Amino acid sequence: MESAIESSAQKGVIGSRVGRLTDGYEKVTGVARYGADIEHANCLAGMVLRSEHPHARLRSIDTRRAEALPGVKAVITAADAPQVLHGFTVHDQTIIARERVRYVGEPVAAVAAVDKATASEALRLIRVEYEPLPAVFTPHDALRSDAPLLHPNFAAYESKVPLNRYGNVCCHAKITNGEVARGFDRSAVIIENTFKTPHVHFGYIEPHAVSAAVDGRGFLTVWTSTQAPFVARAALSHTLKLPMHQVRVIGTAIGGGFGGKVELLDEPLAALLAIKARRAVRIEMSMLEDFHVAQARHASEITLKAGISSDGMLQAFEGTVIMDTGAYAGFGPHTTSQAMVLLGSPYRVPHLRFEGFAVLTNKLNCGALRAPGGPQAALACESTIDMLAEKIGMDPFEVRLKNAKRSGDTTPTGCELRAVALEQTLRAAAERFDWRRAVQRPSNGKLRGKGMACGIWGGSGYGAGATVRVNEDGTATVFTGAVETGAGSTIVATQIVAEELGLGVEDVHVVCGDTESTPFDMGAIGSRTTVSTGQALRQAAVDAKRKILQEAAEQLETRLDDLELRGRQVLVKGVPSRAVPLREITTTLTMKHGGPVMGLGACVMELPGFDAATYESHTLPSKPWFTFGTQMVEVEVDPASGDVEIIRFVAAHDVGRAINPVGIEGQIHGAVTLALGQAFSEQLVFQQGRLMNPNFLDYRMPTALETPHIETIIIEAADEESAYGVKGVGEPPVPPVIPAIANAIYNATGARILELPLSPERVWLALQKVAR
Amino acid sequence: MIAFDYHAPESLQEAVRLLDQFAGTARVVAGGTDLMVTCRLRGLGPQHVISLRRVENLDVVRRDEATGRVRIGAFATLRQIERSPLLRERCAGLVEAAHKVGSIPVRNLATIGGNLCNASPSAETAPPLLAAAATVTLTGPGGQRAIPLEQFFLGPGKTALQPNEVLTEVSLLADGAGAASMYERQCIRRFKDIALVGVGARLALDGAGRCQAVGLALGAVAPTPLPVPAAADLLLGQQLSDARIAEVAAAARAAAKPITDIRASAEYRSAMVEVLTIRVLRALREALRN
Repeated sequence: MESAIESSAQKGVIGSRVGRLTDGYEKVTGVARYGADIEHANCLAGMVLRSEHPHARLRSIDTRRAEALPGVKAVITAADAPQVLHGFTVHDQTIIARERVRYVGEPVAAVAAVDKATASEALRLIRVEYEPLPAVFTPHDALRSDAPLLHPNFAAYESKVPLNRYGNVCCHAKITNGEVARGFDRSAVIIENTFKTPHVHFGYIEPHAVSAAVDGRGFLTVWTSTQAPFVARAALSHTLKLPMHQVRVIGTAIGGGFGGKVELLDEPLAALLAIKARRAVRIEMSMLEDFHVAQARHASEITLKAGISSDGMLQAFEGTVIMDTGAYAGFGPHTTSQAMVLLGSPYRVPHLRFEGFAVLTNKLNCGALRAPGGPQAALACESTIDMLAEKIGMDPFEVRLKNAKRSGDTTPTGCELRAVALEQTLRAAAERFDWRRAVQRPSNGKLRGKGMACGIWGGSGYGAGATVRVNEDGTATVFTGAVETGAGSTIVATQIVAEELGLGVEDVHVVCGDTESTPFDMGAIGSRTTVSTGQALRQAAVDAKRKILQEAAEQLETRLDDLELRGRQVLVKGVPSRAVPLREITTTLTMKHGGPVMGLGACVMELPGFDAATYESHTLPSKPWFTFGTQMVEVEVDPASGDVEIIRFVAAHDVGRAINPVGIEGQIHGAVTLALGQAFSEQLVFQQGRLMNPNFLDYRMPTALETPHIETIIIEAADEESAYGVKGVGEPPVPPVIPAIANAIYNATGARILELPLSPERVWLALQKVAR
Repeated sequence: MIAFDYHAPESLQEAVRLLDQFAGTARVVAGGTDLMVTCRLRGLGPQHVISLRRVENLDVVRRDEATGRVRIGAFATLRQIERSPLLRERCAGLVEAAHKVGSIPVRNLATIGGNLCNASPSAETAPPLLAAAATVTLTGPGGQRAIPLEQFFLGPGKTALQPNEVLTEVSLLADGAGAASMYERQCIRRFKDIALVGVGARLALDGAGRCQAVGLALGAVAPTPLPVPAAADLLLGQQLSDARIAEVAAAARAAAKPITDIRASAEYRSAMVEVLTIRVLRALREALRN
């Protein structure tokens, strides 16, 4: 059982169950300031006019009546914005619609007024003349040769990665290993299935909120609940054509991000309004707006053909991945590339061939929702493994164990896998779950079954810097560009620095997420903070420690090697009587000579080599680290209604090294719960490009009442490339959840469901077919 | 943005006078959990909102000794209903339905009158009330009138209330002395969700275990909450055998007129009418045996 939070003082700080000293008090007492809580003198209310058409030419926009309304201080349209294109991989979008709108919700104009009522009235007075254009709403329609094009010449846009692009396809990627025909020749059983998943919203509780102000020099400051202030600064500088040093981004407290608060949304609009009005402007989205414009999880259709020999060895995978990326490429090329890698990564498959298509449609742009591409790929891969296992009469656990990747194996793009613990997670989960035990048949007419799934996830790298200042009183202040998303990065930062400097976590304070006062950090994305920022923090602390010990060595007239920092003291090894309080050393350094103690650290996780011959038009051939996990679940299905209840859920994940086990358990609980929502009920429903359920009434996320107890198992297979051996944990537990449940439903009922969500109605319909 | 004039009269008489004065442009608000959400979603609302918050004694729950019926003030919150010892003993079906609405914070605000006046086809409290032969009291400038609840619902969002009338009380048959009631529903999410189908039933058995009074009503499968007397009547004078229950459930399914929308298909809703009716009637049989 999970034990309570411990005091860090008793043993090493790394590995302790430390509570949220950094951000917890502020949040539970309600004083934390989120995006909408930042106050400014004379702040204007900004509001955005959004397209009501999925695809239309903008004939004209008349803002004169809005501008004339008393209380309106600024109105902007594309005419007020620099003519700049931006985007994650392909520069294909503008910050405000220019000439054309491509989805319902795309910004067309924005106003700043003395209050929301005036701003709202001003929006009503803006006259937009649209000329509706033929639209495409599904990848299948978009791929037709006669389909209307969202972008007349998409291939002409600048792209950071060479991509095969044509028509409405913004990325056509390929991966080939071996010769699939040979693999299928050697297979005793070959199956082929198509799996479908819908668009999913982030479901954070805080809608997007931003405020912007311009100082006397014309320099811009933007306060936003972003996961990545430096990404926002670069994007604002680029899209507004402002020198980077004239843009400051300050990350506020975040009411949930999950990948939805990385790319720009209303930030440049707030900035343009503030520049034009010469007053601070705040834009708060309503949840209704947020549902329409937040960059959802890609809807997918994955067809996977797979062959296995009678002795249970996988022989070949052949698949097509189609991602519906919406009106702009967004994260589409990445999600498609990633899903293809993930499909072929958990198991050794000698022959495989995947094609991937990121397809443009007239719907909201899709982004990087916690483990983008992961659940889609895992549903296809892990359902397929179970189906193959059944056909050859082998336990799915055995099939997974036989084919599991080991250290030194590679991903389908030839990226080497280090410290692989898939087998350990399989065995640990099976032992805890008691996999071999037969499932009890309940007497109430319900059906019970068990299922399992494995998952692989690769983290992101990019740059991270950190500064540690040891204060004159012997406490430390950490400066990091990594914001606290609620995932616990700040408490981990205090643990790392406390460990290296021999302090308690309560002695370390964190300043984070301000581009002007903290070092660069790519942000809380791709499960990277503890790995990348952690490495930088450790280096910074070690650097500060070296400076302290050098001074101490002089004062104490000892060798540097004989000194250590522990318990807020400088200790001379073997001579306890010569201990000096740390604060004496730091006070001397700060006040008398040597200067204030500053430690610097930086990290860019190296990308392992990969095999360029294996792929084409692919954005993610390599990632700095990968990790694996296994989940097992027991479900109870009511055959009369299709209701599914989770009886037991076990999740075993390799985190390399658990810096804060209680935080890791929380991350696993959160990731599993997020995926449970997508498994059972979450989907954005579109009709003709219009969102039919833009609210939490008809967009159903799991509540505490449906969420089962999630048993966590932490495996620590250290990665020698990272500080303390850590691997990230934010995203890795997401992918296996859905296939584990789908496999358990099949085991309980004999109904194999290939499409999400696994709602009562869908399960019931599948059961009707089994009964026939 | 929504803007309206807010009135908070201290008496029912004054509320009715205001309603009469602003006839057609005013709405009564109790908890506001439906009205305000609707206003916000549609971006417009009534010109005048008349709150009943300051009117006293509109939330009284009591048993009428003369008739044996239970009377509930329209301003009684759903939370009050689910926690009332009297209702828990005497109106189990209504209590269950109230308990299933939204979350506790919502139920702390939402009232039974509001739930009925909103006239959603899926209103949770409607099926158990219809099954318990509920009547509603409507108060207007000319005084009060009582009508059966089934005549109150005219369509989605439409009721028999005149523009200058307020729903002030609900009365229903009580459980006990061989009678019991129950409510069941099917949702996409098990809690905090809107019913795809709701089934309310009330049964009274005679000493020999035969049904002497039967009420059965469905939610979310017609433009209004739907009493299904033809199905219920199949039980009159009958023992509650599995075969008989199945027959009633099939009849209830036949009487339902569900539609397909983003929440569920008509096919699934129909099937669930049958499943839930069987479940409710079997559970009532069990309850009445003990």
